[in-house]
Amino acid sequence: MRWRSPLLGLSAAALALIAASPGAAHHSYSMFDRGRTETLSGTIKSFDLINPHSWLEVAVPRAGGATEWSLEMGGAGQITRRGWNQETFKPGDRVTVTYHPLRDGSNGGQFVTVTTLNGLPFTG
Amino acid sequence: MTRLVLLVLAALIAAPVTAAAQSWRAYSYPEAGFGVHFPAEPTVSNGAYRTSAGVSVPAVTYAASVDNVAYAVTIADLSKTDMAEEAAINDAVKTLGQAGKITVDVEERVNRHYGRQLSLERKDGSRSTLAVFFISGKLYVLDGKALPPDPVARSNRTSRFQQSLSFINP
Repeated sequence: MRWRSPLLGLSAAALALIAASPGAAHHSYSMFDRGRTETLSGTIKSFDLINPHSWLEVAVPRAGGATEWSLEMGGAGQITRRGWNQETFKPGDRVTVTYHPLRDGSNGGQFVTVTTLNGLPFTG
Repeated sequence: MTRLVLLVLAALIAAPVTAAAQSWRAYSYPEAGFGVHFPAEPTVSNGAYRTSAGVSVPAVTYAASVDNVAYAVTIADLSKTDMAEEAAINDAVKTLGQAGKITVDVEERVNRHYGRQLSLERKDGSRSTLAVFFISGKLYVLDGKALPPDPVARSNRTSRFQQSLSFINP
């Protein structure tokens, strides 16, 4: 299921963080429609803190299974400077993510924010 | 001996599963001037690239295939032709377009180089996410191709492949 609105109120302790500034980007993000912001909810498959871009992989439920979504983030240095590390997200963590979608409708986008639904894995 | 045979058989059976489960890694090819992420160890092969006019030039392809998705970066040496950057990129896009319908075609900057990024719905039902650049006489064609059925379900992987491309010593 692809949710187009945030899961407001599911967790009073929900935390939203922003970590996708395009400053000093290695590319120009043309494939992303940065005039649109969409929302999806699912569970973390992996969080890859690497260069030139880190990636948040999310399994989004749909009828008959789940679809994989890949959200492109900033580089590893950019992310860690915000206090995140490889342990910030663990497989199975439930999240709601906002993102700028890919222009071709692929299952991915440029990461904008994440809201955790099962507690506070970090502070900030 | 029987135990050894069983171990070998077990390893052979497990191999495809291991390959499918491999995680993304950054691969750097300074001699070719680029880096990219693959979800499995890529192979390198020599071949030829043919322009739309039928001119054949040497090419090197870095490729991997995992879970019905083919990942490839081909570098064609056009230095001995008279094709300049814009002509070479336009020609490559024209050739790619003959395989199906181009649904997205945008100019993209990677490091300090400008090229094109495209999405292609192929006539055979596969779906490609592409990047085409031309640097110092070399044409770079990145193709992340999700095969049918349901190539959209794996489109996140082809997009990730496309977005991981970088150029070394730009």
